[in-house]
Amino acid sequence: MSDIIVAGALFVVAYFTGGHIEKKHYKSINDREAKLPHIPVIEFDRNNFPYEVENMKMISANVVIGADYFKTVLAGLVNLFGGNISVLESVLDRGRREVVIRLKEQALNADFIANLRHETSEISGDNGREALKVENYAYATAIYLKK
Amino acid sequence: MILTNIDYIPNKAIVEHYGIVNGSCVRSKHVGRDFMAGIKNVFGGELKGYTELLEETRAQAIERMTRQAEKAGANAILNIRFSTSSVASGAAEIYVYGTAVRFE
Repeated sequence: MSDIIVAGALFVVAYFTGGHIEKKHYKSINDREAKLPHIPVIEFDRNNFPYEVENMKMISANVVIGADYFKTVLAGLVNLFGGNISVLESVLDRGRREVVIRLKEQALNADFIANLRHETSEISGDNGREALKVENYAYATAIYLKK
Repeated sequence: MILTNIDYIPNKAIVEHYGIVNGSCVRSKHVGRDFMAGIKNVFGGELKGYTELLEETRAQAIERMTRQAEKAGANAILNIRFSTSSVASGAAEIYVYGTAVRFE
């Protein structure tokens, strides 16, 4: 019985803390995305690149975001009926946008960002019975042109 | 050593190929960090301990790959790819591979 009360209390608390953290994170993502300079992200094509390259550098960024207890329980419930698990979609969306920001922040003076790749992996060896902890990783090559 | 995930180096001629080089690394954090991440996981937000863990793991895997390429006599690694898998709770395996070459 006491287990159910604890789980219920955590569910309610996590609803508020998780919601607050997510809102704050989205605000910070939107603010930082607006501040970034525009750098074209391209797929490098050697036959179609009419510029002289001065320098190139590999850049990468990662972030691990955890879903809160509320999202975990709700995802489990939605899973019974099927359909969009939108509470987890936002966790992945935040992670992906966050890594791209972190990546671009490392190459603010670059002329191009080439071959951007995303990777997602889960850090939990417990067959997904634990709360979702997901790592988003992005890597690319920053290209600096001869001025 | 030039590292890139593009398949060639602009304006430079490659004089020798050394084939594939790779590096892998499995790391974990101590139990205290795992515990704190578990608590953070209830309330939501970024799990900085694990972000750090994977960053360190990747750096070490890249270092191992670079060392292998240096030993072969290469001065660049092209077409680098990463792959991640989880081997145990709170641990991560990173595998990185690429083609070692020497350019003029």
